[in-house]
Amino acid sequence: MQGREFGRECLHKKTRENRNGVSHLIRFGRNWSKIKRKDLTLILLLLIPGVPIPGCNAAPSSTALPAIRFSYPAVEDPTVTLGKYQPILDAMAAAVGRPVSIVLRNTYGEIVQDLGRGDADVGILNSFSYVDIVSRAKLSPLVRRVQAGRDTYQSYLIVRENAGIKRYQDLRGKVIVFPDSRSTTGYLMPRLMLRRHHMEMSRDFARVLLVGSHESTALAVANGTAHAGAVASYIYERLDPAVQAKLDILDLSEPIPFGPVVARAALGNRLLERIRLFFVDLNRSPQGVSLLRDAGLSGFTVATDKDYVSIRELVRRLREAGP
Amino acid sequence: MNLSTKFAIAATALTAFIVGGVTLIAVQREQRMIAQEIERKGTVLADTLAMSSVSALMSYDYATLKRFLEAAKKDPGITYAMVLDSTGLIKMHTDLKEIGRYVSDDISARALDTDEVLVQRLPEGSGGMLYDVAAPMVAAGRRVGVLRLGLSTRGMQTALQRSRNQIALIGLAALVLGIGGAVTMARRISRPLRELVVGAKAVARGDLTWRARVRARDEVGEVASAFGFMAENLQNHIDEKVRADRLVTLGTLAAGIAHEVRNPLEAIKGAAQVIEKSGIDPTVQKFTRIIKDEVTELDGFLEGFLRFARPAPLALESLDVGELAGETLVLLEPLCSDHEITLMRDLADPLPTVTADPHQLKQVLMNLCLNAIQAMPGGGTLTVASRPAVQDGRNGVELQVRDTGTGMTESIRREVFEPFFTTKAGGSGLGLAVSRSIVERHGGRISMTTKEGQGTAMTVWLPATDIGTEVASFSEEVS
Repeated sequence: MQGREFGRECLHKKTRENRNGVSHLIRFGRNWSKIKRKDLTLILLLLIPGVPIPGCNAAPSSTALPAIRFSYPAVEDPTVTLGKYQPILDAMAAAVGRPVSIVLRNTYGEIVQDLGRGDADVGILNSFSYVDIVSRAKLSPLVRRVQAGRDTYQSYLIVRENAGIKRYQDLRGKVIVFPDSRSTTGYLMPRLMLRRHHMEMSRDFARVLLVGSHESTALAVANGTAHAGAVASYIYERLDPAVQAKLDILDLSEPIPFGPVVARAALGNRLLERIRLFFVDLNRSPQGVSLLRDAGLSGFTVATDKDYVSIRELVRRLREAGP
Repeated sequence: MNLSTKFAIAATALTAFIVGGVTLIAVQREQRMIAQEIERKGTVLADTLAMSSVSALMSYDYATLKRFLEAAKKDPGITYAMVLDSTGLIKMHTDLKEIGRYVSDDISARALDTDEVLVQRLPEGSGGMLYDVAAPMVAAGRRVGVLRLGLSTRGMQTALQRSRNQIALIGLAALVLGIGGAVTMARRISRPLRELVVGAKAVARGDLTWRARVRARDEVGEVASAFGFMAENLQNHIDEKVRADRLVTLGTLAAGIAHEVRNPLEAIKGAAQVIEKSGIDPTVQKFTRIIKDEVTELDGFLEGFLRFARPAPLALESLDVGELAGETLVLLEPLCSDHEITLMRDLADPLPTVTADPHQLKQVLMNLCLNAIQAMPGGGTLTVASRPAVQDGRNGVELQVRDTGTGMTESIRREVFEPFFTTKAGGSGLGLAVSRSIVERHGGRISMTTKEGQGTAMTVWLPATDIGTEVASFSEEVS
């Protein structure tokens, strides 16, 4: 097994004990920031505390059943996130009736690999990663998150205030910064937006920087490292007002659906449906609403492959246009 | 200004000086320690943070850089943390408003130019100090930026001020206690001194009865005690002098009486004898006998008076007081029997030998016994006892005459040894005065204890001529 399964060959770190008295061991990934923070939140919400780890803290009714292997990206402070989302994951374990083992990953690419090789049963992907692998693996999209009442987000093309950049053409010869070349809103969408204005990254900029995360992207523009950059809309909204004050939004993309929670079809339709129902029903009970509110979410909605047709078309067009 | 005020002022000034000095030293020491601690902490923290942050700076990972600085800022002593690139551009700052700005002040210029951790001190408002600690960020041997921390003493200044207040409070309390203690001590010292002044003035006025009431067991107490002892001795010497003068007067008077009265008495006595021998009628003879008897009695009185005023020289010899007492008591047995008095002997044997005139000592014992017999008109018990006794570190013999008679009132007791004082009709009032004179001429002492209605004990102490045997005391046996 190539993946570093939780509690085995990964770099271990003792965090905290859950309510059953079992310690969770979390591995830190160095490139965690390549994955969208909100996706990480969702993943942790689904997977971390209270989730039965094989041989450890399975619920009484599910100890004899095989664990669902959940692949998710490591985040910056797992201890905080674990404590915050453990109640949701306890509820999920109880609802699904199966223990869950956790596989921490650094990037969406690694999660894609896990799912493709059958080393993980469920995973969290961003939109680009989903459309990139769906043709090669038998995966079923289950749900996607709803945040602030919306199940889509946008890409913001930001520039430094007072940099004299009022239109696309002003970007020529400048330094531009992006989080990750696999980021939907942080790379693919802005690349398309630039193309619409006849601009190419490889040709029209003095330098193109990849800085690892959306937050670093915004800070790099704010502190003068770069003149412009692209970030996800929900990341921009979360920025410190002092940083926001140093930024102007040059343009924004059309809405993009949030990345899905996907599962291997091999789990069986019955189990897939139970997982889907758990998330979809979360906002239909006071307890579920409370758990979602703590995680900063409105709820989950059913995800279908059709939701990502536009993204797939976007990727196709970009590939046709070349690197 | 009196002594207590001077002492209180001096003690207060000394306390204030010590408290002030200690406070000053403590505050300065604390300030120095705080400064050292800030520099040490700032140097270690800035250096460590700079090394940890180089990678994030080089890879544009400003989110991580931001978290590093925010973590450092959680320390309440740190007012700011920032990362500058080599051109002076603020890449990250705990105050996000500052990012993207170029710095050009002298402090920043020196910080950008340093190859090692640099601590710069800047005065801060409210008397505080700001320490700007700059640590170079080096990658592959090249300086790529500098990490700066601002450490303020303001937080510690508050703690320091609190500490100062506490020290001042303790100092104030010490000062108040010190002043209180000094005033109390001054009063305690000056009060006995004031009493001594009163005593000295009383003695100067001639009142030698003043005695110190000072109970202090210190030098002042010793002075007061010595002063009282001096007054008492002075009184005793004056009393002795008065008595001696009186005796001299009496001696002179006795000589005059002997010359002026005894010769006419001899003439009267001779004339009475001639008349008696002339054979006249019995009535005349009867009156001449009365004349002779009265002259003889008058002569006897004069004899006793002369013995008191001009005592006969002592015919000293070594003798056993017990033995002498035994001989004397034999003479008294018939008299005791007549008065229904039981005579008890309690004479220790052996006793230290004393050097004394046996005749005069017998006279003393006889006087005491006769007084005792006369004090028991209805009968009683007369006890005569002798024992070895030590007085003022000197060995000697105590001879005690104890009766169960009427005892004496306090007023009688005070005067009983005075010449011519008597409570008996026809008494000369010289018996105890003569006895005391004899005992004192032997170097001894005579004392008395008495209780009205229960009896009297007269005790004579005489110094021994050799080391005695077992020592005891009769004191307090009559009470």
